[in-house]
Amino acid sequence: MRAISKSFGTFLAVDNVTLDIRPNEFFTLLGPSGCGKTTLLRMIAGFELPTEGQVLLDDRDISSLLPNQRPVNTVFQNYALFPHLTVAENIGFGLKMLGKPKADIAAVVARMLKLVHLDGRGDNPVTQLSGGQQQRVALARALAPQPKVLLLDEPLSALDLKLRKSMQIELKRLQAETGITFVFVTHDQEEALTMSDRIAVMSQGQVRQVGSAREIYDRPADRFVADFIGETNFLEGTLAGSEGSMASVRLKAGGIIRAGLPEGGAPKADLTVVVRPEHAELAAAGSGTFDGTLGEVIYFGTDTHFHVRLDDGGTFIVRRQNTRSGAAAPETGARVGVRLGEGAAQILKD
Amino acid sequence: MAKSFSIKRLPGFSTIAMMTFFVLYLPIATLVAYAFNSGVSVAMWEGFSLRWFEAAWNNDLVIEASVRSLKIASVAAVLATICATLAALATTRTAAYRGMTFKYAFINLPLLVPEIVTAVALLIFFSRVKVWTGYSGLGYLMMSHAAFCVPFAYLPIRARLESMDLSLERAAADLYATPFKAFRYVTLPLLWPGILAGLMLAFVISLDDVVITEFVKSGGQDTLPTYMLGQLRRVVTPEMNAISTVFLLISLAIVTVFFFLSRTPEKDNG
Amino acid sequence: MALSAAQAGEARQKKDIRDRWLLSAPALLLILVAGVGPLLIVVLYSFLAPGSYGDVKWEFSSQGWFNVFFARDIFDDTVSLADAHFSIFWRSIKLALGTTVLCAIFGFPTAYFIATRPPHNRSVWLFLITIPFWTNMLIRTFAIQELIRTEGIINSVLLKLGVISAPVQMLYTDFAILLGMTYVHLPLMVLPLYASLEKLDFRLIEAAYDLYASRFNVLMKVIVPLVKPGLIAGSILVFIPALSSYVIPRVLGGGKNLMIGNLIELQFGQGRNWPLGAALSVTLVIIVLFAMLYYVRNAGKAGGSSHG
Repeated sequence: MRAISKSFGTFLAVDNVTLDIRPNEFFTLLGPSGCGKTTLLRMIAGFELPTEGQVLLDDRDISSLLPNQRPVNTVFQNYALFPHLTVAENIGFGLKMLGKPKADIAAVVARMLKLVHLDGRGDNPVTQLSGGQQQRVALARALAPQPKVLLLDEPLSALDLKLRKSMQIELKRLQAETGITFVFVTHDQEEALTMSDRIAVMSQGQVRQVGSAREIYDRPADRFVADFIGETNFLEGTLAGSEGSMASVRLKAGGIIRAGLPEGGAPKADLTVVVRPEHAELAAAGSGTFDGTLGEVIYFGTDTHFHVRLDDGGTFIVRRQNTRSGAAAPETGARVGVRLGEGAAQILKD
Repeated sequence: MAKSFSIKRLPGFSTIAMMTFFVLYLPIATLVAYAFNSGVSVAMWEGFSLRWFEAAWNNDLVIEASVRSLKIASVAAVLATICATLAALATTRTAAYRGMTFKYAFINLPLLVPEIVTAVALLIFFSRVKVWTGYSGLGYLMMSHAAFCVPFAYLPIRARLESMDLSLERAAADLYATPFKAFRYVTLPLLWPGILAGLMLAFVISLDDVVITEFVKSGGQDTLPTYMLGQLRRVVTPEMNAISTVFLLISLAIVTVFFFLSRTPEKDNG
Repeated sequence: MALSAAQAGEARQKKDIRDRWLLSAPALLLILVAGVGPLLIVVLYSFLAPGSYGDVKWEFSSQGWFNVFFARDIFDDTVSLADAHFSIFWRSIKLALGTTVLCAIFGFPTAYFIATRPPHNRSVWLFLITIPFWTNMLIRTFAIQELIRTEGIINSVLLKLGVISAPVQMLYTDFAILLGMTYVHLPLMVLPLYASLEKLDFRLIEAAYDLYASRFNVLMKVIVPLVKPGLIAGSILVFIPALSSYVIPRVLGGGKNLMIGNLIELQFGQGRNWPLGAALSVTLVIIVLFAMLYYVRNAGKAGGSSHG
């Protein structure tokens, strides 16, 4: 995908996006609703045509082909199963449209039914299936013609939590078994983090960061990515010096820390550093990186959140895993220190 | 309080409503009852008999007019439904485009123009055309019936199309169906109940028409309603009741089927 | 492919709109030729001179329109207002308004009754209202005719009960036309009223009672204003076809109590004055148009006030 843009009237839904999706990978487009991820997906499928730029598949320009001319299939958000056809007829639809012989279609349909654990349900009307079963039929239908790329438009959003978890594993398995490139669209960060080989985080029509789940979580590129994924502490500071990919930052709240530099080096002298709550720990006052006053202590079962009021007015959250022994926690109002581990802090681009 | 206070109750309303239902069906019930009268009066009951049904059956004019009515209604309904289906496909499920509102208004225009005015207009127009072409067959009646049936056929088809999920056709296109195949294998089967409903509505509307037929028909082209209108000027025997009863039954059957067809389909996802 | 995606998209959109015009062409053409197109010819004919045996002579004449409003005495050529026409117009409007009011009086409680039934029963009651609507209008008129004729059931029953001593002449009166039109058009009032009442939030009525409103006040100050859009829609649906009735006055009015529709027909039949008939037709369309405009304006207002 190269320098692709799509505007509706004066509204720019997708703004100059270039993405390289590799063969056989599980690629996820992650972002809040209205960020342009679905529009991007629809341009790959052919339901929308880009206003500018090209969609390339194996170095072939497919940007202006009709959806039925593209070796790309979609699993729709509401499944879009044909209500007047049976399960088998739904799965075989694509092959039938391609003019494949009946015997071949039957064989593929049987194989697909087995693949999605719906053996023997071929003659059922799709309207009688449960949500999870419909989801699997939609998957089988899109996989049956063996597309080069499978597009999944928030396919799990209609399922309840338990079913969603098991379908996540199922999807990962199907991708591995079939070796087809999956492009998955979701607004659910957890879904994206657990399933994807690589993730593109999108906001306002632009791609903010592309990388593996780990890269995106541990080293967010900018404020949006850091804020959108997981819980984060933002600390203001100034650049004190840098060496290689690391820099030292003088924090407004006091103390100097070492933090990872974003790609392309530190943007300016005034900058923001992010620290995940679980990458920090409480310490005695004066022994940590900086000090503060302990505010609310909130117990979450598996862990406890400590809200530390910093001297510059900000709040810093420290998350501590609860253990059986239950280390004594300081009282609200006490002076405490906060210690950051090596590599815990990351400097943002903006 | 002895009687519980119901906020929905308004005094006298239920009585008026029941009276309305009674009055709505009383004339029809009387009409049907006297079709079975053995006497010649439509007011004095003289015993049960099927003689008037027999008389109507043996009346060549009635049979001819009935056959003509059915012929016109069939052709007009099919023609109107085809036109309405194509027009409905052209005016739904798309961003508004130039001329769409115009199309919508134009298709519904026959509903707004008083029937008598349309009838007069067609009389003037077709009397010219008849002179020019020398043709004076049933074609004129079929055409004019089809024209005023279009908005009626259009209604249920459009409603059905608008309730249909657009992503189904997208899914078909995504699965390598050409636009024609997508229509043939997905849109048409799903639209079918709507088309049938439109067809039936058009058929009933055409069958019932009096005014336009009365003005457009040439000599010897009476339909059942215009034949009956002519007969009402004379002394009426229960034969008219018998004809009306059969007519009512046919309409009732079609409307009942229509009622079941046009009910919104059950939600398809589980 | 030489075209860029953007150009291809534009071309595809143009083709889509062209296809949509092609698809709607048969319907538009059919309605133009055999529906509303010939109305233009009616307008044209209203400005031509009448032919000797019906039809028209192809020369301009304002006689058609002149005759709508004025009558020329055959003997002394004096011009006076066409009283006969005015009285028929006035009768038509009176009867159509009367029909509308009667339909509202009977239709409102009926629609209210249906709307307050349990949901699963409503469609049955509604079906009972729609059945007569879809059965032949002529047959329903005929049924009324049988009921009210001099030797008809109503007179027979009343005679037997001793309420009257001689049969009452009901057929071929304005009362007969009014009764027939109310009977035939009643479903057209009930259906839109029901549609409004069904959406009525009964908690509003609860609130009104809570605030010391009497039943009558609740009806007039709460329910009626809330269903005004349905009432207006129903009124227009009844008024327009009632005004242009042709079959009902012909069957129940007996050729003496004419309405506009019959007057128009007369010019194309015995009267052999096609330009006058055409001018009368155009006049009827204009009246209907004004009624529609009135409706559109008031429906807009009613819609706006319910939000305000």
